[in-house]
Amino acid sequence: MSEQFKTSEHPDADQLSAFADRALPPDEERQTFAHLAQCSECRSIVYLAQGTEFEIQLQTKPAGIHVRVRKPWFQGWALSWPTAAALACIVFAVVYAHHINLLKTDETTAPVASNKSASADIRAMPEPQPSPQPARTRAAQPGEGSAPRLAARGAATGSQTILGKKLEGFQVSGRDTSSLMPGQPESAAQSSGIRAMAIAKAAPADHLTVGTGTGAGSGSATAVGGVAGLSYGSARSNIPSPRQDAKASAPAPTSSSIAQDTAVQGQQYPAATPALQAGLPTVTIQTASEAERPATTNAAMVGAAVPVDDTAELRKAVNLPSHLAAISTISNARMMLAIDSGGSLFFSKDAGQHWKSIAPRWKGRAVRVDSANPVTQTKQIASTTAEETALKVPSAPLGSMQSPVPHAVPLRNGALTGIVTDRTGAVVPNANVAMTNASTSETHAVKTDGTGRYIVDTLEPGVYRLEAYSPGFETAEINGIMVANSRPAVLNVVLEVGAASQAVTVTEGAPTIQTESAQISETIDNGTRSTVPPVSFELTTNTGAVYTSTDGRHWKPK
Amino acid sequence: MDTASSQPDDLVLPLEPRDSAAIRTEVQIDVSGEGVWAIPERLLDELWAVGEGQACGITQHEFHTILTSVGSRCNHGLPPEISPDHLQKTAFYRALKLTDLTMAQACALGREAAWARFLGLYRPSITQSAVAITKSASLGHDLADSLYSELFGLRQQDGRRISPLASYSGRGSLLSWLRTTLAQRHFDYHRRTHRETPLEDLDVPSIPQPASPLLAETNLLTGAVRKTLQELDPEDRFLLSSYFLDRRTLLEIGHLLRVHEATISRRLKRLVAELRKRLLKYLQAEGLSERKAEEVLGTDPRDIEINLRSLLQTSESTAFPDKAKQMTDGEP
Repeated sequence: MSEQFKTSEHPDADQLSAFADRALPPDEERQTFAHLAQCSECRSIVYLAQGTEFEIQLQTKPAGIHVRVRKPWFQGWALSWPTAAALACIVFAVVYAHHINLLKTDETTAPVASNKSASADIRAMPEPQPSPQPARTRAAQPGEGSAPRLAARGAATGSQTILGKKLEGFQVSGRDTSSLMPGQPESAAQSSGIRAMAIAKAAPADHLTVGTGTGAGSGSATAVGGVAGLSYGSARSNIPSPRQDAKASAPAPTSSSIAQDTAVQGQQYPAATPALQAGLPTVTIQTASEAERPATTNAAMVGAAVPVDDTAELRKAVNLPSHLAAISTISNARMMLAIDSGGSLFFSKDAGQHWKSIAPRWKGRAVRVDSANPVTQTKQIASTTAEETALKVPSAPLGSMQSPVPHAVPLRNGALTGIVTDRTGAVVPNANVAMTNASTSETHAVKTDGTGRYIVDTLEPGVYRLEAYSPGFETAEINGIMVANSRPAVLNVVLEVGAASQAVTVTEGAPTIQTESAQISETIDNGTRSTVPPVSFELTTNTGAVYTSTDGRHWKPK
Repeated sequence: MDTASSQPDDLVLPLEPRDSAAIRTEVQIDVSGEGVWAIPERLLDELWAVGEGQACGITQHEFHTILTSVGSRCNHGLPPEISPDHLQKTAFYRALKLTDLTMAQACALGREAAWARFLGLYRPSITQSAVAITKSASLGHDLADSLYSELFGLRQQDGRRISPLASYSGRGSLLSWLRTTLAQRHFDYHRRTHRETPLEDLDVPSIPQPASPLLAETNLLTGAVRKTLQELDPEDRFLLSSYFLDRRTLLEIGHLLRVHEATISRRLKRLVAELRKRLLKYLQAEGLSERKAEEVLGTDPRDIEINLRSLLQTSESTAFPDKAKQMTDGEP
């Protein structure tokens, strides 16, 4: 028997368990308390019997009652709906602001409802200025007999050559100059009322080539654009424009006489054909002199080239950071330059949306910015040719020389032009483009030329539906095209690759289109582009000094 | 002798299984000696229905015997000097855990149905409690297995198997009794395997301190502390012992006493304040001024030659005086 653990004095398990359950009578409980107070071992047994502290906590926790602990307000999904609502509001505000901005800045945007198979953008063009010479306008209007004949003859004479001719000062309507294809004579010609067109993505846009033959021997002036159905397509020839005759102080010819003249002159060029066949480089004609520009402007609506200083719309549209009016602007597909009334030069890469001031590296005050022709040697070579000789008309401005097209006539009706490309940006030639008037169901069908350009003019104002189709592509359908009177718009159409696999051969100068997939092929031939001289600008100060620059930012004295 | 030996021997199970007629005869004889109508028949039927004795394989007469035996052993919950009346007996019987009591006694009698029911109900709990007590899975299973064998009646006395379940009176729950029994067995095992020597016996004899000028006051304080602690209520001394000596937490103490731990905290705080007040009162009664009594209470406890553990665990009132008396009478 242990000294400390006398059996007789210790309560048994029944007493201790009853004590733990508080089931003992008071006197026995008191005795148990008294024993437990003096017996550490019995206390240990009692505490052992009731379990550890953890077990006690488990036992004391009411079963079936789950305390719900609320998460903080910033956790869980409490903020999901407010966040989603805030994001939706932000998106709506951005879209609305963008829409308002579009409405403000692009007044002539044609509302377009495009379907899924096509994507397009419409850029409005400035309204063509009314021609100061109605006679010349009439003479240049298509559909008066001469142009169709020329077109037919040009088509009959076979292959043709591009004769690049540089036009001096021109402007590009709208902002989307990059959407136009390079070196497109018809872009200028077709937009006869449209002042500026034909701005290339890659090639300098100020080299507007006027089509000629490529040594087929005929020497006849033919249409280059290949825009079927355009009566003034023949105007894109190297035949001197009727305006040249006007510049030569000749009386304004009638349409028939112009046609005859062009035909005759076109036939007078066989001497130039051997030279061209001999591989003469592309001839670029030097810019006309400053003094000739007003005459050029007043002469006619030269579709491809219009002196910049005379384009009031463009200057008005330019919002320079100095908040001064622009006195001279020049632009091409890549950049845009403007001089404000304070003589500061500004540079823009996004068609005038954002301007950057150019630090003056010249003495005096810049008063005029213009385009320059960096090619001089070719001019000398070409000037020796009979063709160039024939082109040169005394005192005739270059612009008039380069516009042998009747597009000097402003459009009486609405017109729509644009470029048909695939999703990779490659142009799609010979694509069928049909414009259907929604109200009269009148259809105007044209085809894109070798550069993917189409033009549909003589459109009555109204709502049209455009359908573009080319083999290997899905038919692009664009509804709700608003065509306003004398407000030609640009609508570029992007064709999606169709299900059927069909190779499409692209003519020279245009990238090869891979219709099987959207993957860009590496067989793009940029030979035509490489032959085009780079852009250069000229800046004239009030002291008469002339500075040149190729990028618009770095100027050096000429 | 250990705690397991403190079992009443009033219910024994013969080693040799006897037929039910013999048991019935024995019960009848015993009952006739106590009086057949010790428990009214109506109350007996009510208690029998509650106790589910039929499911445990015992008869109503056996059930009656069990109840009367438990009642007489516990004096029906009354002090020994009080003779219970009919109402007190009825209240005592109705307060019993009749289901647990019937099953425990049936198991002690070796009824298979009761054992099957017992194992189905308490085997997982016993194992879990044993593991929790021993804080070891292997020791816990060993402890539980040894308890099973002991409960089954491997221990014999006078040729009869003795099951500890026979000592269960039904006042507390059977699960609590089982846990307490497990704790007792674990404590016995620990005491058998760990021989400990009290530290005070091994302490280096303290260097005799020079006589302090406050020796008289210190002696006064020692006497006051001893007297104050001895006069404390047993429950208060149990609280102080559990909290200050055993380092039990408020949660453990509160769970044992079925009160909230905050109540224990308040009681302890009040108890300490009461102790200080009593000490001051004693010291002032011994002739010390209030200021002097405060100074004496501020004496460094190390200067007081007093064993609080022995003081606190020593009481003038003897616990279970009847058992002590029985022990004293039983000794030669």
